[in-house]
Amino acid sequence: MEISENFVPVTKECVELEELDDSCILYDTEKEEVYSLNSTAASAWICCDGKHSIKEIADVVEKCFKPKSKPVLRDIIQIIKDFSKKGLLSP
Amino acid sequence: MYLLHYKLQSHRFSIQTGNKKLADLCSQLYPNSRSKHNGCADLVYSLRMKSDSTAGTVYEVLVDGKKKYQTNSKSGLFASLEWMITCNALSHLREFFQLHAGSVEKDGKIILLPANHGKGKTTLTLSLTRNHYRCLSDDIVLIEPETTMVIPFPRSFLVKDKSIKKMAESHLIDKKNGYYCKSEDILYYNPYSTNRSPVKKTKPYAIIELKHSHRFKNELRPVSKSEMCIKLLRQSFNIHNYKRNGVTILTKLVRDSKCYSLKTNNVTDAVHLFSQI
Repeated sequence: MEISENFVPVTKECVELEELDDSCILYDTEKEEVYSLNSTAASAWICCDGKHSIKEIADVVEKCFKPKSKPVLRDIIQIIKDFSKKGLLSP
Repeated sequence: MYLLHYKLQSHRFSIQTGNKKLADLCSQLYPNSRSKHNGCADLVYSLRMKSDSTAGTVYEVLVDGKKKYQTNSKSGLFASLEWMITCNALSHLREFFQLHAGSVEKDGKIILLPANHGKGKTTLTLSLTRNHYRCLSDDIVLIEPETTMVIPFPRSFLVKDKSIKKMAESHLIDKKNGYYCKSEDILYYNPYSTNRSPVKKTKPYAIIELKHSHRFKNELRPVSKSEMCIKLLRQSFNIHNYKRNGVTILTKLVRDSKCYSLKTNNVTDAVHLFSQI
């Protein structure tokens, strides 16, 4: 799938999230695979609800971080591409 | 007939043999888990020794009456029996989440050391006794799923080939507290005999992933809890029984623990870094 700033990602229902203090775990219950997410990726994941484009997600995620460590749009696009590559998003 | 009874948590087993020397040999197996009563044993191991005109002395191991192993070497018999007991015990102890990890304790705080084979767990664990740590287990730890309390598994420490001499010279091991298996060049060492006071069940204070190589710079650094969770998943013996619940158990475990990575090129510096936790 084509992933650009206007793409609206949706997470697969079979993928569950476990939150930890500093990061998150994703568990794909179908493939029985586990992934570690840092805080930026975890914030992006939570926003992948089928209602927000990547550009909107990047704006939301940026507000969560301090100015020096703000993720830029291209970081969020890459994160969403990684989610897609691992089969974590709905088609 | 000599009959020895053992209890490892909920798993009971017995070893029976008509030969006193084999019975004495078995006294080195799981010495802290000997039990006076049989109860209802899950498994009975029978050891036989017979003479064969062509093969010489032959040792046999039967499990619940079925022959499982045969060898000409007494030390080979010990090694295989120890391995069989360990594997069977773990398959019976399904109610625990099982990790490939060493563990030590100091001041009531338990520290887990998950690591693959050959990463220096045994050397570090035994070296920590110099800093008033108590060795709890070498390579297996049981986790209570509901509470994530840690229960050390009292298997002997396996000290291999060149390490035996080094550790004996450093007074980290006393060969009298164990059995030297000549055929495998392994010392089955029991540090538990020096401190028999029970260990209180508790959640781990810290989890430290250990890596050892002469190329590494000595470094102790915090790691993210999700990273540690994934490392622990890889060190689990029975994740296939738990699947999704296994992830939940491990996230609970790491949530309440400090998580570190310890890279080291020598054990002295590793012990020094350890004391900073």
